[in-house]
Amino acid sequence: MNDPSGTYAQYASDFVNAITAWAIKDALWGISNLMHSFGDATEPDFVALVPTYNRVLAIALLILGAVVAYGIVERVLGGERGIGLAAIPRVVACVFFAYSGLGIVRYATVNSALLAHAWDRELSAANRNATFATFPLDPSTVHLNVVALILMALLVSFLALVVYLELIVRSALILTITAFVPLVAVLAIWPRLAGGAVHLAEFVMGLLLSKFVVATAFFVGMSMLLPAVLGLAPTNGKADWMASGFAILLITAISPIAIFQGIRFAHGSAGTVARDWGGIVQRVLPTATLTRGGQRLLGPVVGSATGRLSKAWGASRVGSSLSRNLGRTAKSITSFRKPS
Amino acid sequence: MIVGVLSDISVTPDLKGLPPNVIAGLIHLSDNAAGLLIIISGLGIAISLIGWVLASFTSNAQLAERSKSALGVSVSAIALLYLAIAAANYAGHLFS
Repeated sequence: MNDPSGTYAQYASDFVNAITAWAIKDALWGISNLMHSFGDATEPDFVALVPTYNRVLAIALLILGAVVAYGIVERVLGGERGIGLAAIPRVVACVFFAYSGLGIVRYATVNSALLAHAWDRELSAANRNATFATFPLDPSTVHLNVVALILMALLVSFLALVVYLELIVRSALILTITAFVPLVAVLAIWPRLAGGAVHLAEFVMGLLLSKFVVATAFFVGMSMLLPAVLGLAPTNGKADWMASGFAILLITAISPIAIFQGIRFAHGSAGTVARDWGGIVQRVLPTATLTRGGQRLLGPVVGSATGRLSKAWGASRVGSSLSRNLGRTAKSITSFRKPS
Repeated sequence: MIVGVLSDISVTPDLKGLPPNVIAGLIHLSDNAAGLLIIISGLGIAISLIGWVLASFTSNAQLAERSKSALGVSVSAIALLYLAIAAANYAGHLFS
């Protein structure tokens, strides 16, 4: 005679297995997508900008005479920011920057893009097609309940979407602003308008480095969250790795401006503008509720692994290959930042 | 690497791509600015000369110095304007 309670337990176990496998697969997909977002796929193509740049350069050269004239007029009238004989070197320098602006921005873009690849080696472990050797992971070591695991997976997927949008907007902004470099460079001949050139340079620099900032914040968040999920985080009474990692990932996804405001080289307004489109996505979500719920769920989880999950997962054959990938990513990241 | 990146994209001002009325308008803007500069410089030269004459009559050394300085600024302003136009014509035949 069949035992009904055993059958129901089997169904529940299968259901938990399926949800867990989906969560892990989704998280890995998110990490893999983010890794690709930090690559060339979100870099601006300056070749498309050349015709526009040429035309703006022509406009800039046509107004050069007027700018010089107005600057000298101010000097003759006794203004503080007029130009005298300094007009000659200023014209030479500013016309040089007007011509070479596109090349300079492109050169800076290539080099700043290299910085965004700083964490590729560790994050590439999430790629299921990675060629290097893997090692088995004991699923029972995952110190997380199913709900928290699903929440984490959703966060990583959401983060992937928002960061991708931010990086696409960043790329478009770089292209658009670069088109105005000749105009701003020529206007900078007049000292009264030179502030615009400085602001533009700071803005572009902030945009270029924002990818590196987001990539680094994401890596820091993952390097705390994944070890905590696998029970590798130290319990030395300091800030909980899982809560900290979760908070960092939330900040990266929802409010990167908080990071940009603390880093001088990442221009604050550049970060604001770049994330505004991504912000449309996050505005439709109940952010405060999500954060509070995440804190309630994740706070007491570390150190109290649920036996039910371990048992269900131990019996699972579906989730083993997926969990191996998660473990590979976590090991890769923790090998970079080993807990004391 | 710098040379490679910089020489990878060729940039030349595309004057022919601009509509004729835009070019005409921008040149008109420059002409107006140059005209304003010439008027102000001419006034500056006239006022400076008057001040210099008055300074010599009244033996006011301070006024004479200021008048000389203003005359130099006004003359050099016109000189700079013509130099800029000559350079622009030489480099890109902008105003020729």
